[in-house]
Amino acid sequence: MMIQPVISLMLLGILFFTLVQSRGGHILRSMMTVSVLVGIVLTWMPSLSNTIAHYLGVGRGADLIFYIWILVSMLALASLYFSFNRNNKQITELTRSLALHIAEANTAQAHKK
Amino acid sequence: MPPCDEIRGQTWFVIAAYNEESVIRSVVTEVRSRYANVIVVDDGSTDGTGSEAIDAGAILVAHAVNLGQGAALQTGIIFALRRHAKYIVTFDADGQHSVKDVDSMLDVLNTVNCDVVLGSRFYGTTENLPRLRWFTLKAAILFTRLSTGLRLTDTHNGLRVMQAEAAKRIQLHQNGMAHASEFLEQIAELNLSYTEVAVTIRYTEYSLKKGQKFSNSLNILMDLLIERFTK
Repeated sequence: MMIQPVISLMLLGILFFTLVQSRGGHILRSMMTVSVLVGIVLTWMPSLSNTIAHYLGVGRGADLIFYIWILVSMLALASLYFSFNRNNKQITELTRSLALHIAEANTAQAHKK
Repeated sequence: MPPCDEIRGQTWFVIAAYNEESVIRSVVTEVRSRYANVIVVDDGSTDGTGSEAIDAGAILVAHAVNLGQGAALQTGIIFALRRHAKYIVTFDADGQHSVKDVDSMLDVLNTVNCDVVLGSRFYGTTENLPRLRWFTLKAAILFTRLSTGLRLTDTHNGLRVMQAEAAKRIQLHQNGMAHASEFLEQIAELNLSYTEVAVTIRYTEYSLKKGQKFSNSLNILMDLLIERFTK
């Protein structure tokens, strides 16, 4: 069995999922589209990755893909971290304003009594 | 000399508490024996901290989820300012501070006329300070000196007294324990005047258990660096 059709289908599935689900901007969508298309081309023409790798001064195509994969993972981690941080700040603001609102209502009620 | 009634009435204590059910009542009662206005910020406790604080006579401000001591203090400070506080005191919930020290800190705040008075355990008396804790605190002092230029003898003391005007300008963004360093960084950045006053810290088995571990100082350092780069 050839593995190329399976990988290609999976990559297309990921692309479809990202385009439908992603609320990210154009940059994320474009990056995903390019990565999936490059992935599909390389799956069917593995020697192409070797040619590019040699051109860039890397020994093997597999190594080049590995390096790029690490870089992309790091970028994804950093972007996740920043969005996590942003969410945390929003939770802080939300929790704080709720706490202050309830406490003020309680003290106002205590004064009325 | 103890502060006059007018100053006492304008002073608001902010106590951040997370699961301090067993001690919060005695801490609030001790403070309330000398000062009327006590805010306890219950930082998402899962025990009876909130009801104990109310029973002891504190005003309760409750976070629905646990955010950290820095966030709780900031919430309490905002609440105190809305209640027209003139002086704000941050006080630990685990019973390690003495309310009598606040008298002298308020006195210094008004006589020296500075923005912030910081408690220092190394000027004052410290009871049962373990060796590793001493080393961690000294390392923090050195870090503060290098990063802010402030020459302090104690950088991680939760007992602080500040004028309302200074409290309005200080904004703590560090939710966790890094707020202590952030507080000092802001004193330096905002050019606030400050002085240290000797205070007594009671290290009890309970406060040591609840206190910061040496291993956590690396996490604090990381939080501070990230905040600096993402500001």
